[in-house]
Amino acid sequence: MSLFHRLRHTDFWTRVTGLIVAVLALLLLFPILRVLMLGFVDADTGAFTFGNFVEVFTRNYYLNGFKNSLFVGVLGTLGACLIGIPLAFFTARFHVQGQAWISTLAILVLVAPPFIGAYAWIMMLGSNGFMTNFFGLFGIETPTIYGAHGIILVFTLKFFPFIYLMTQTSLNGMNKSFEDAAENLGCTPWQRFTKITLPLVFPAVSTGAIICFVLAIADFGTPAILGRGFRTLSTIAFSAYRSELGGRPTMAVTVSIVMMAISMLALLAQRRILSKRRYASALTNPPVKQRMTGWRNTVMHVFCHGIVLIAMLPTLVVVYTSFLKTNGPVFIGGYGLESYERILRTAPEAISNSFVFSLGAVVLITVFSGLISYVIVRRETAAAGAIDFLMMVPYLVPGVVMAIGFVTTFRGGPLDVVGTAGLLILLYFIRRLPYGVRSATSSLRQIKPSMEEAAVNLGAAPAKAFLVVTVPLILPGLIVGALMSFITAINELSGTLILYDGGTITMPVQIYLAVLDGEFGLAGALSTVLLVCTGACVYAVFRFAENRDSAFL
Amino acid sequence: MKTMFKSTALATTLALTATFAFADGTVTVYTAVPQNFIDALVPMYEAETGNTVEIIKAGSGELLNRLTAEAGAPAADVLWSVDGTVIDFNPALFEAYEAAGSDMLASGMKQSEMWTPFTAVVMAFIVNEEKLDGLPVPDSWAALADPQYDEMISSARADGSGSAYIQLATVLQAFDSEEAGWEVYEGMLGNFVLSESSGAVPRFVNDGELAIGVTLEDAALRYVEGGGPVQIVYPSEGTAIAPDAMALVAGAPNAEGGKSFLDFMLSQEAQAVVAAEGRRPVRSDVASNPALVPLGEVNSVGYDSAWASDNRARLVEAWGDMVLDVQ
Repeated sequence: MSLFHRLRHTDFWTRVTGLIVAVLALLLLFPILRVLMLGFVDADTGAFTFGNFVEVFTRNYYLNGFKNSLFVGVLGTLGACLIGIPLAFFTARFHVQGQAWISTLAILVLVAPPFIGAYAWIMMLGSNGFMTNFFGLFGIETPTIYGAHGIILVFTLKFFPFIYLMTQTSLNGMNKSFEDAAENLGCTPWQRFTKITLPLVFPAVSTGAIICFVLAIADFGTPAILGRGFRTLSTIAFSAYRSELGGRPTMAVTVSIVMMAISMLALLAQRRILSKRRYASALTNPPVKQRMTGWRNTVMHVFCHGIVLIAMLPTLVVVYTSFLKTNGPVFIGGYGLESYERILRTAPEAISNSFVFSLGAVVLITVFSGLISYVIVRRETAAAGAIDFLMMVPYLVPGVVMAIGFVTTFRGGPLDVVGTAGLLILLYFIRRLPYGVRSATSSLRQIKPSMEEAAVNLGAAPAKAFLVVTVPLILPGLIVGALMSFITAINELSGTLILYDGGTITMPVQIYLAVLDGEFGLAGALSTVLLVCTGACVYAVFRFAENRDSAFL
Repeated sequence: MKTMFKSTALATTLALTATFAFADGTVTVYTAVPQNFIDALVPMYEAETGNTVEIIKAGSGELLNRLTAEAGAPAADVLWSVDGTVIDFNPALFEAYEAAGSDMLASGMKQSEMWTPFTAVVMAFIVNEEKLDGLPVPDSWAALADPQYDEMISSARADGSGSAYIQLATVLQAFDSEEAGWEVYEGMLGNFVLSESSGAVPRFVNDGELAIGVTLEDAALRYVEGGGPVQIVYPSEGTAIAPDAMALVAGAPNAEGGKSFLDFMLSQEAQAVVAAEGRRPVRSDVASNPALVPLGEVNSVGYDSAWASDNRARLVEAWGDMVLDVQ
């Protein structure tokens, strides 16, 4: 390699690194910091203060919210582990009929539209829910869905797919020799499971658990609708933000900071534990699936199919309500397509907006995740480490915080020329970028750098080597990342709600507004349309992804 | 490479900006009005004026936050159908305008220079008798404070919903003194199951999740007319017959369009639609919906919205403290 090439090599990727850092600083750090500063400001005077935090940690109202958030967050995550791990173990180690069906449903649970699910649970298990009434016919009094236990149940069934999919992927990639050795040394199957298998899948399980925990802490819709006086930090922050008095949303921001700090601590703790134990695994001896027989086989099948069906119930209820005959907001018995007729006038715009914004964001995400993954994997500079760390931030920051940051930073500023549509695309881009980067990075890690080096040695410019050699090699990872970010972008609600204007309404916003008006038929029809759109994308991911389940994480 | 994705990004954003750029004659309306009013009235306005209307719908608290955040570069022309005190409380965000037809307003409807009344909102109870389990149908504010209705009453939050704030102010005005009102309200709040949105209140009662809801008469009427198992009850001590407001945004990008929107909403034909949708019209020459009790038979507290507006910060703060105690 000549000195000249060496210089150009350094130059191109240094420039790219600089560009990435600049984009992240402008679109991620700057807006977030502008909002977070509000947490240190007195609402009335605008002076610097720690008073907001003092209030959060001394007033019972906030302290209870803090305890409640941790309570439902931890128990919801635990519940998700309790059903996710066995489900993964059964499907990875035994022949289960309809395995593809189970995976599809588990993924559809993940991509189901937000907010409406909690109402579906009320229709089933509320005081007048059809399941409550059904059991009532036999004199069985079921506890209603309201309160902490209901929230934990919903979190369990909503977030278990993360644990299931991550654990299953890890189990499939495990070297069977370890388990064989344990068996040869006289371990019982239970000892083997707890001493060998479980520690080996711990990284995957804990990563899934952290995702569950972070999402459970941030989830606003479920506790707001099912809580009935049981308040969590997320509902407190939202109530504070929605308050009509105007002025600076200082308490909403302060509570959000506390929520982010909890998530950040959990994430750092998990990283620390993981860094202490390292497992290298070469797939020389992949596990072989066994056949279960007799009653055990029946129990296993009932368990596996039962779990995903129960988790899909709220979605099915939503689809069902969309076909009920309505008169205004009232379901009057019988079936009809009124709800679909009513969305015809407004839905086309919302559908096309949802697609245009999500696709616009995905184009940006794909380009940047290719470049960022290269910088993270191939260039071990301090900047690369910082970018890797920054890629966790969008997971932790609530959409509301991000969107308020966008409004205060960009509205009226030079970036305002992109308009609301442009801002929404940039918001989706920055919030969903980690999905693309994660997927591209794992693809790139499996490819040796020798090919790009050969291209550069033969005289190709680094940019050309990247485009002609690297990009085709990581294309599957890029495609999966693109689809994953598309699915999460098209379901984005909390940020859009603050940024959207008349021409830029999206489907999740319309669903939310229909729910606010009590128009469940309308919300059901819109959710069904959104579900069909995301379902089509899940199918597309299945077609493109080599290892389809892990594609969603 | 770099220029390639740069130009792709630029082209994408430019194309989108072009698509969604505001045409001339576009009126941007922020509103908390129920969807059925938008569906009925906005196409009529567009047909009559040739203007295009951009609707941004959200809770009134969210809309106010948006207006505050955008104060430097206003995007909205009109704030349509919110509790008038919200406007009086933030006068810097709005511009006074007297809509055409203001001379035809029924008496008591014009309460502020800052805004024009759009409809008269009547507060009422929606009751699902079957779910009362034999308890009597409550017919007064005082009855709602009876502990026998604990956890049976649905209400929105007075700090997040305009209608819930009017309900609070109504109770405080309905008794001999404000203190007496607070005493009753404290009992009510102890029985309340608070909902994040006022639209969900009649929904919950209609679906039998809760037996009683404190809500708007027109919202309840939609469930009654739809054939739901519910009835409308007016509190005997008197209720609010309060105008809800619409106002021009200060520095509106299309102020002329905004004014024509306000003029239209006060016109006789628009007010006739208001009546058909179950709200009380504000013009003296348009009659109420025949499905509703005539206004003359509803006991009114003579709702004083100037008082409600002047005391807003104090009342909401007191409400917030009371929630911590009794909820």
